[in-house]
Amino acid sequence: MLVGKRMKRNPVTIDKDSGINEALRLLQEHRIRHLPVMDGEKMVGIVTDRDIRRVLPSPATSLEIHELNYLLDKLRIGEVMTKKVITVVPETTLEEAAKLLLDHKIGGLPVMDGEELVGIITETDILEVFLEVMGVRAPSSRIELIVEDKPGALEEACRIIKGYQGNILSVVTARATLLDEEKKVLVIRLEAPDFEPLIKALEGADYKVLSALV
Amino acid sequence: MDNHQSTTAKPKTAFLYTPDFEGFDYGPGHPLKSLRLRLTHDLIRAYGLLNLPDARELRPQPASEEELELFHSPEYLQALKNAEKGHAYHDYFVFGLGTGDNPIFQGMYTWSVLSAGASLQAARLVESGEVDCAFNIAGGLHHAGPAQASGFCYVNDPALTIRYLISKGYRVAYVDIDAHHGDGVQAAFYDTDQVLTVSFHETGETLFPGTGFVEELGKGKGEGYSVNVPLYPGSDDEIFLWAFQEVAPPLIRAFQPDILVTQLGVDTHRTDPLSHLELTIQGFGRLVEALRALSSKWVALGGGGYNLANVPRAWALAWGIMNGLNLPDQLPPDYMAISLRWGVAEDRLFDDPFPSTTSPIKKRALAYAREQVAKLRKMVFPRHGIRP
Repeated sequence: MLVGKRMKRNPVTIDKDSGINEALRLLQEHRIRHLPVMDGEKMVGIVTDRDIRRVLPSPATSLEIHELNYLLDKLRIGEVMTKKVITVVPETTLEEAAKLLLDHKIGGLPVMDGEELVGIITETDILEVFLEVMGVRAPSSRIELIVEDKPGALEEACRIIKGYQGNILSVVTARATLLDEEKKVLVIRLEAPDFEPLIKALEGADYKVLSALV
Repeated sequence: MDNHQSTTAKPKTAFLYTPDFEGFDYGPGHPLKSLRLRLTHDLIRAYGLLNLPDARELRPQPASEEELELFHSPEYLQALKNAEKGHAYHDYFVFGLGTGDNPIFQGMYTWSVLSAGASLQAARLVESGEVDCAFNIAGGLHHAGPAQASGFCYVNDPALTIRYLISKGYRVAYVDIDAHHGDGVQAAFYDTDQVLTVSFHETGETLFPGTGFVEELGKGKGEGYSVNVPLYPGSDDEIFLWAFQEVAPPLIRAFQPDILVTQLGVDTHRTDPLSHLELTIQGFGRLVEALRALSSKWVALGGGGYNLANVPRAWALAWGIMNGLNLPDQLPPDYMAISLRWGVAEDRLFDDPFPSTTSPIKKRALAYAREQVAKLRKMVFPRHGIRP
């Protein structure tokens, strides 16, 4: 899964000579938090709702309202934007993009193809993919198992599920960091006509079933 | 460590460092993290490179106001001091303060002045002949203007350092290999022939600060003394090193500097989140070796680099080269125990070799580099008496 497939194309952008109020309007109107800043066809920076909030005076300001409006009117987006921007390309993997967002505690990444801005990918897009990977998008049952971290552990669980005519929709494995270094957690989304007997069979095969939700 | 091998005679060197470098915080969401300095120091120590017979670790002192005024305006310095104490005004945007790149945070002035002090101390150590080479990894903040914070930089320590050196009558060559154009340093010496600035960087067409084209040559007496080599996204070790060798050695040999000042940003790395160049750690190392061959008096400064996995490896390698040592590829276990805590799981100093490809991206980058170098040879070389 690559960024190019999941990014939002034609992102809302703002001109570097626009005012703060224009940025506020765009952010609110489109319910977004990131605006790539353009100088003609070229992306020259980014502003976020965080940047805008920082620029707006605190309620405790000693300035008169007309002074404030004057200052805010004078201020151009080009003066407050972030110019050194973390960007990705359409070929970046989603997990790389997620790591960048997490490592730098940011919410969005412009997607560049050479000099051209071709999209934006945000934490919301990554969360959508996460839900999809977890199989939440279709009605289904969910089983969480502890398995040995060894070859074939997944295969055996799948065989048992197949034996009960279970149809697996998604499988996610994760290190069971809270339990035991040697074991893994397996989260399976499936459609199974005989759910209860299947759970019993898994337990009978010495799997620890952490949770089972029809 | 016993597996170091000597490459040449051992130079005398100094490493400027204080734990106070680690105290600053640009805030959440900002890519410049002080941890990169700490991890670099940790790796250098773990490699055993802080107690070499000819190397010294020294604690830097903050720059004095008089020294800061070698480059910065008193009004700007006052604004920095006020902002640090929380007395910021809305018109501080004219100084570039309070932006996403240059937020106002506690300790910003104190930290900037300490970083600048370390660079000045490095210059004094080299100038006096006490050492052949001094390295300040907290320096290299090359974007700041006389009254302007820019690109994560508040105080321009390379510009200050060079001002100091030319005030003593030295001729200075400045070479900048950061992924971003060294615009603040170029502007500071745009009209003088006492300083030759040479910057290699990702082209301003695709990266901040949007300057650094071949046509920016300098003016007046300084014409021909500002040299820029922009490179296209996708430029790798091969392209960067080729452009470097074509341009830097002949110009610096012709200029005959007394002292070399370098900015060793490592945001050119292929996994750096801020740029689109494709260098490896070994490619960076070869650039540092090439720089070392250019002068026997060398003030080395840090710079950009926003992937925590790369900065310590690159600058430990550089410090090894400054001391004439080859380092083993396996990172010391002591260091890995520390770096793992911060989610850095790297276990080798060098990267896997990046295959030399013939992809369209590489072809375009190579063609672009050739074009820039050809233009530069024609426009700049004759001014230094070199055949184009």
